[in-house]
Amino acid sequence: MNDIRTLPDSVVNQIAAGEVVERPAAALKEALENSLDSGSTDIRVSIEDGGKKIIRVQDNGSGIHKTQLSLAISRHATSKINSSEDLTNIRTLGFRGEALSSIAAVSKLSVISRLVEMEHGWCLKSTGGVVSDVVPCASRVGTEVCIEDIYFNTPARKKFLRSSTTELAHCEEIFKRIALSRPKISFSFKHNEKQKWDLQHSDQDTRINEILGSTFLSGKIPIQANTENALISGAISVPNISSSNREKQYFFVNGRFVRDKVVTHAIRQAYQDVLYQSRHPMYVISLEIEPKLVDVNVHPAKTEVRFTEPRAVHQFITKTLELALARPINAELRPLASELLMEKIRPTFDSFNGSQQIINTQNTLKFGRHIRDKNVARPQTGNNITANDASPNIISSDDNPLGIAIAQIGGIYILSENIHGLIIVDMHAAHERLVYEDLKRASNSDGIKSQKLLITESFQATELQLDVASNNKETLETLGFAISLVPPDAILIRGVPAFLKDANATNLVIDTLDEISRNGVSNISSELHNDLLSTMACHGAVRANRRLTIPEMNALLRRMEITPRANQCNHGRPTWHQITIEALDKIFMRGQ
Amino acid sequence: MLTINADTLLKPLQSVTGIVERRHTLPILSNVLWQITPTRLVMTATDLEIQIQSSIELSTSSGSQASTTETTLPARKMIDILRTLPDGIEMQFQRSENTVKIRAGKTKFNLQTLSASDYPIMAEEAKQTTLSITVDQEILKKKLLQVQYAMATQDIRYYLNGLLIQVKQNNMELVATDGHRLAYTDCEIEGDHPSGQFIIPRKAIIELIKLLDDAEGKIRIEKTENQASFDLGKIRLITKLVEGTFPDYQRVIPKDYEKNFAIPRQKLLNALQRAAILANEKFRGVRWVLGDKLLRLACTNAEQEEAEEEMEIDYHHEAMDIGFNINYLLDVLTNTKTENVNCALGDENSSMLITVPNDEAFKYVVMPMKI
Repeated sequence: MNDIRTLPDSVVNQIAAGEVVERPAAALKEALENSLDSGSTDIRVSIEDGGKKIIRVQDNGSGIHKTQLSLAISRHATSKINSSEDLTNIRTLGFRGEALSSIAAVSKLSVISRLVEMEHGWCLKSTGGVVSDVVPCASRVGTEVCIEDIYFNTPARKKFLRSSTTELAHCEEIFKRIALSRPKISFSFKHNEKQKWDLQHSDQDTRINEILGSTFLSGKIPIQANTENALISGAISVPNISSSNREKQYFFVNGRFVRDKVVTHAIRQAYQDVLYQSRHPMYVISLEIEPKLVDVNVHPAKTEVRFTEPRAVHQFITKTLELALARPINAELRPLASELLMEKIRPTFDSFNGSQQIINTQNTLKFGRHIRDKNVARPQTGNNITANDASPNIISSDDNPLGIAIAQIGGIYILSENIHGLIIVDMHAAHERLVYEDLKRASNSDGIKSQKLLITESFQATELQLDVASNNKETLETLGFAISLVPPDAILIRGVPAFLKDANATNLVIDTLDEISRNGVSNISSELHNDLLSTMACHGAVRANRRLTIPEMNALLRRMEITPRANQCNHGRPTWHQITIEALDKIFMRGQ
Repeated sequence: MLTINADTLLKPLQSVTGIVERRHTLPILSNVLWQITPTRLVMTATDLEIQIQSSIELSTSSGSQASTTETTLPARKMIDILRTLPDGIEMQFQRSENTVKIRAGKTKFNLQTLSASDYPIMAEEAKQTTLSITVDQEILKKKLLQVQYAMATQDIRYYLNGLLIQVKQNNMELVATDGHRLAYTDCEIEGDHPSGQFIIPRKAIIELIKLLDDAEGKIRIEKTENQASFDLGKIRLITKLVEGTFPDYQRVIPKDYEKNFAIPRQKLLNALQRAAILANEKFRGVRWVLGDKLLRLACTNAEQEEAEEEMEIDYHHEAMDIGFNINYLLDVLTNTKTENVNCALGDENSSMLITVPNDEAFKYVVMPMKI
């Protein structure tokens, strides 16, 4: 048996590097974050060979004083926090004092820095964490970090590096995240001396378009909402434009890119009703939240965070997104009714102040009705409704975004004409959504009914399940469950939500407890409820091959315009499609 | 191979084809096995869980002729042929290798057959019969109808998807429950038997009820290790038993409820049927508001439409407001035939017990729904 002894610093740093600097992209991330924390407004990245050879990050930030250069690359040295109290109020991206020392430990590092008041810069060079010397050198104001030959001294890690193309892709992804989080800072990115990105300082919208490209641009919904302690902004994709993977999902908490379970779940839930099967939404969302309400010190790479009020954050995100997604077609053509939006969101945030209040669904209803009434009140141009010979000059306003029905083809599709051209509506899909939304609205007022069990069920619960069950009795009751704890470790189910009375009660309770423990809330039963309503809606909707008269078709179009989420059927398929006059012109080669 | 009158064939064939599933992955299961000897035709159908066998005595005096052979014929098609042929017509079956030719007057059919040797006859357990009881068919049918509707349909607790038969000395208990309500009855049987209980699968019960005759006649029920057989003379049904332990039903049947009242069955049924029109499609809830001598029934649907019924009843206890799934109440009221039913209640969170006068055996327990 070997003796126990303290490891030499070089080994400690290499171990730490394993966590923080798992691949060149991670080194790039740390360097970029340092630049951001130093208040830079212009950051230039240049890498070679996918970052395996050189990663160079140049900024115009505050810089590091000559005397502190060597301290900067020693472990647990940072200028960002002083005391443990600061940990609860972190406003910088870094704070652990690990990044530079970890990078230095596994690479040949040079740091050149010049403070604004100095005449020239100073250059520090280190090899595998061993500082050679600090020498004067020419430099612009700011800091330049150059990481060469990463993992040169850790062959085990080096073995795991992928091809330059793969490592480059990872570096670029990191760069995109950082660039998205700071639209006001200009960035450039070079690979092997070739310019890949050149982003001038701009606003969030422009930055999103530059980075995510036109697919996202063509169907994004801007979101914005705030409360006393939090502000959410950004853009999300319309459900029709979704992705088969989770790549284009960017969520920033106080400017820090995170992949968080609570956040992902909240977003997923908002899309649950409108997204086609296994598709994934695209989004760039930035959440500004009071630093003391979030703990970023969870993992060295800091892509995980912990919210002190996960339930409130969950609800804030879900409700904001749901509202944005639910906007009726009519409303989309008008500026966002942001005041209404604010009103709606605010009550949610009582929970930040302690009282864990459940969202008042009644409010959503009022909001829906409000818009509805507005539309009903608007006079319909009488001749529009029956106009078989609807001529383009009648269709002049945006009153009828889905246009005036012309005909039905194949017993399935309604053709209609609006100012932009031709609209094709899938009659069944559209009607299904209308019926579904009606059912949902109606059942919100039902309240929860609980069917008591004659033959009760019980199961052996884990400690965690018992704990969640005893702490969330009320939540469970509002969902329609009646359960009791039977010491030492069994949970007895005495009642289940009435509409789920034929489901597997034990699994239902286990899944619900599981979800509550993970997210603070459970929507399993409401998801199942919506499934049920969705099936009912499918049966209640007009079937293909049903002949509709023109007034019936117009009535359907008008209802679609004012119904939330009418762009997709319950299963996330689109309900309508626009073919513009320009597109038609192209087919017939007019004006070419 | 066989000459027989179409009328003699139809009913026995129908009695076996009830269990033939319309869609099958195993093609031979949509066929019926025909085993013919000069004196007897035996038809067998199975779905691998249940098997029904029906036999017809053949005699030259009734115009039948037969030579020994066996084959399988499509079940549905044969039924349709027999139904549409003119009454009383004589049919001739002629078998060649893979087909059977049927001739009836000027009508001819040529049907594909599948080999009889491939037919999956259920092996009857050779082990000793553990129970053997005999009951009047009429009584068994009546009793089964009283409880059968409370069986679960596709519950994960598979032992609820069937009907419990519990034998003790000269008594047989029949119990069905889906976890939310329970129906119980019992009847006397001949002889003195050791205690034993077994669960008959739902589908077998439904078929058995169809086979049971209202007229006089006995049925012999035998239970072996994993099977039960029902012998009705010319028809014999064998079924696998449902494994598992049936819940302790005696524990959930309340015994000391004090809030009792009688109510005319037909009147209550009609009132509930009307109220059910506006019962919520998902919850099917109905509220019972009991006051002095008055029962008020109320249903609300998702559109907030309401139905209300009032009935004068003989109720002298404290006021109560309790909810039920209306389907559970309609079930029991349509399946009992008496003039009145008796309701007994505990509190808002406990079950309701429904019994009928002049039939001490029958008990129906239904749990409330919190509305």
